[in-house]
Amino acid sequence: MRRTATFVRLTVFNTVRLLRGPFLLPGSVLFLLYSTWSGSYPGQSVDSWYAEMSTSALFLAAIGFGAVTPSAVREARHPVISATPLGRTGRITALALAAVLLLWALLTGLGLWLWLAAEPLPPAGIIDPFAFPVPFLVAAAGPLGALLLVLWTRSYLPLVLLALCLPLYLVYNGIVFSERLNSAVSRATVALQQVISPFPDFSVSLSAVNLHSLAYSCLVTAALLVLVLGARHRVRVLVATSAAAALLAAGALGVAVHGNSTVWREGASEPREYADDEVYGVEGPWPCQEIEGVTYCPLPGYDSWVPSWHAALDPVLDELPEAARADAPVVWQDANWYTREFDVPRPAVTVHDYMDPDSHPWYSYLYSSFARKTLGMSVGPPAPYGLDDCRGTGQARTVVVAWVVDRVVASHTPDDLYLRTDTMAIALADLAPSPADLVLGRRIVSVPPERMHALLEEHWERISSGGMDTLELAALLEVPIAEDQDRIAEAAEWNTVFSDMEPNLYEAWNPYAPLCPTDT
Amino acid sequence: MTTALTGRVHLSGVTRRYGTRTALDGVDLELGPGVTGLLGRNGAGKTTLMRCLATDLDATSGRMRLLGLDPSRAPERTDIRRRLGYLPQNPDFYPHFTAFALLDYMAVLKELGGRRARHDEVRRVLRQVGLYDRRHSRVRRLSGGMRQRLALASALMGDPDLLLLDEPTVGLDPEQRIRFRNLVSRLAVDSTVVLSTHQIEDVAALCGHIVCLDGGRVVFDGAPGDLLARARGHVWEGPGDPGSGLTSWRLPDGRHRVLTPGSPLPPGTAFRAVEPTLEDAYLLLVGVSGAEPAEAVR
Repeated sequence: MRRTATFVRLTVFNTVRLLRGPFLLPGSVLFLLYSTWSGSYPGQSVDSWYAEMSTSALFLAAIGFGAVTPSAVREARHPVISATPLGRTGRITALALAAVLLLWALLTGLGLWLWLAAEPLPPAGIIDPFAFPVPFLVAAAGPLGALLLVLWTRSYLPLVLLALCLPLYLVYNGIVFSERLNSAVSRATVALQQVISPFPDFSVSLSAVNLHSLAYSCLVTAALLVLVLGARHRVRVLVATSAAAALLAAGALGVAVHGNSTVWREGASEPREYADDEVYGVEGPWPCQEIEGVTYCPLPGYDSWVPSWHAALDPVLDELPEAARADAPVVWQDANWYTREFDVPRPAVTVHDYMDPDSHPWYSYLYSSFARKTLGMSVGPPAPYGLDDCRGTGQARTVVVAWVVDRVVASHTPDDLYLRTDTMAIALADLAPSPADLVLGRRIVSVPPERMHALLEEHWERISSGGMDTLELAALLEVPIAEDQDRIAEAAEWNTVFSDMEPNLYEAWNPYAPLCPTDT
Repeated sequence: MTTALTGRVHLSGVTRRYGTRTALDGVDLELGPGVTGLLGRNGAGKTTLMRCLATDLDATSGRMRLLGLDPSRAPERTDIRRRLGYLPQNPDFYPHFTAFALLDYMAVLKELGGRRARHDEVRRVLRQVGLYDRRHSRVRRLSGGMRQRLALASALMGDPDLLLLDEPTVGLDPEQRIRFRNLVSRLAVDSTVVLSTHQIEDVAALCGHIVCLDGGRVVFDGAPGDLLARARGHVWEGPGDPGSGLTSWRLPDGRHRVLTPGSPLPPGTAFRAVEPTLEDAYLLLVGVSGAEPAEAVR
């Protein structure tokens, strides 16, 4: 009991020393300032939260790497207190524990702050509990690595390394000063990342992923710890700890290889698809929701994002006849870091888990793809990621899509003409428009909306089935169009029609896509 | 526990080897309360013996009992360390600690209770060694003598039952040396103090018991008076240089002091036997300048 109490007191002593030291708190404050400066964003999903946690853990590991060095030098180079009840191993362990606990406290505080910064709360998605310890283990590896280096070299080597590498890394992220040097820093960064986590980015929702990641982190940290405790001991202790560390490292390598071949499937031609029930705690497919005739299929745990999608997309339907609701596509959410099994029987627009409710740039894409699918512009069996997209060259519905997108964007930002024009041009580009589509698309914004609504109401069947072409629509709107509607517009024609924008900014996105089928 | 072992330090046939070199060779010792002076020339095995007593080194063979406990057993070794104060030779302190922080750190390691009790003890020993006013100075800013006093303070913490001081007065000025002697004298009333030193005057002033090592063996173990008695009749003073082959040195008044380990007779008629000092006795015991030690004195 007395030794335990002494161990605790020594840990507290070391904690106070580390807190008063010149590295930990100043380093943490600098890290927070850097995070703020570099625009770190807590995000609104568990994956973005976890990515921030992982980055923070790396920085905190670097801070711990430096912070623990002076105390480690004290133990390694000035061991005047050999005849004390608490032996050398106890003293080293108390120091490591103090540093690790401090970093964990900082990381916990940071994690809570990032979590609470999400809006709405909690962040969307489901996090596997196995994922939580990994950033903490990564943070712990910093002071353990420093202890190992100091014990072996009896020098301030970790501080020297930090003083050389950290500024280089930070500058490398901001300034290109020499191709060769940047390439070297880049390679070193990749190598370090491979050691810290040999797996590509993946979702924290999937149990198989987190199990591998946790196993790897545990084995590497344990190997480090064993090496630290064995450093500079007698030869037989050294041999035993080195052998144990080698075994642990071999285990970590095995986990990395197994994980990459089975879960991440590095090099596989076809990505593995994950069903919803492979997400932690989920049984069966995650249920879809229907709101005012539109079906939304969020990823497990992302239900809180559905109202924002609906709020964004309902205005699209408001611009179209009531009958259009029946043709509205399914809004299907795919995961950013893994491929979700697609089992939707109808045309769908794909949203991703990085398209959080505040990320407005994505909404232009959403308006456009949702309007396209509502107007029946897809080919073949339903597919995610727009794989069933087609081109609407010369079809009246191509211009209607552009008009709808402009209407919805204008409802948010009526005075931002640049954004409106840009959004319309992108919506048109996705459909490989003809010169006639371009001209009518620009002119149609001047048509009174009531007239468009009436026209769409009257001709919805023909327009949404592709039966009406662009010139017919122009005639109905009494907009004279002389341009060709049977071929894809060329760059010069884009530049002429969008002369108020930068030249060569737009072109047909998918000119080789099949023409959208018509039901005539 | 062996009831016959009444002393606080009991060594029986203790040998310590470093590879093929024997640093301690069958050392037998029995030490009780009081100050024991450990003498011997460089390489005699003093520091190895001190490290064995400090449980920092294991004996290669032989038996040791310290404070009634067996240091070869881990739990007992820990108990010994709880009651032990050790001032190593050339203490190397972490230079960035303040004096107070360093002793606080030592106090934690010595299991000196909670924060308040620990800090009280740190203040007490800082006052004892006269460093209280420099408690906030960093170790690197302290002079050599101050660092030595700081090391002494760390050894004194917790009123140890066994205090091991390896060259404790190196770097101390005369005033501090007197202070040190008074301090150790007070402690030795209840504690066993082992003082390893080359400063014979410290031994003369402090020690009621002397152990002399030579080549890893104990060549003398007894009271200072016994050592002096052995030297009587072997120390002479007279005019002129007695010539080579004898240990002698010139005194300030021009006469020479001569040690004659092998013969009770002076080298010349003008020389007269004088009362030996402890230094004379020690030199006669271990020999100097390559001369063989005096078998007669041993």
